[in-house]
Amino acid sequence: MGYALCATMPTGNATIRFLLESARAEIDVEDVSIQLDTCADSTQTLGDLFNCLKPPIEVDEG
Amino acid sequence: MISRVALFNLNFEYFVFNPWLEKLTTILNPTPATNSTTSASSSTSENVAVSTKISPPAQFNMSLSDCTIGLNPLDLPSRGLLLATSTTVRGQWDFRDGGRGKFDVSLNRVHLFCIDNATNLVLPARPTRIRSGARKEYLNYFSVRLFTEGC
Repeated sequence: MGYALCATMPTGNATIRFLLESARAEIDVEDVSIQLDTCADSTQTLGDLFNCLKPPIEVDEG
Repeated sequence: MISRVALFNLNFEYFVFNPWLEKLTTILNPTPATNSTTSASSSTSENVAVSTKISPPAQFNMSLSDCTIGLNPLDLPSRGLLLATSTTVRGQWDFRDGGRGKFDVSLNRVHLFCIDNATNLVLPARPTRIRSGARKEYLNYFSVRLFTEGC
């Protein structure tokens, strides 16, 4: 019934750098702690949720 | 240009097909250079640009307080909700010829909620998607008899 708390991140720092001439990206992640509060069902829901957040593969007509 | 934006108690929605995400993808994937000398000298010019150019004072500071980001997956009844209690995003932009941008993201107390079936919730309307130049492949069943009877 309703939303369930699945994960908590108390602190976290990330630095994302884009070097566009070579289309390169650098991501530095530090001081991250993630606390997962999941059961079997919520883990399944969380996995399906993140799996379906990405766009599907498309085929060019030309 | 130095700007500072503070956002409080806002709700953002993430859908799988975002126009701004496609624009960002085209920015991050530039067209390949047709001249071989240009592509050969790109690595050296990049190093020169990174090491010797003085970055302009273009910055963008944004702080999010008590904002939520709705995560709407494709073809799933479940939904996620990301609650950012205190988040700071800093940017440093240095485009034009070479490029290189920088983002510093500082997260503080981020909570992720999810629900397996959100059909009974009042949800924001999904944006209609108008795209050209690409075709999405669906596998569906249809009756061939309807087409052969007319011939």
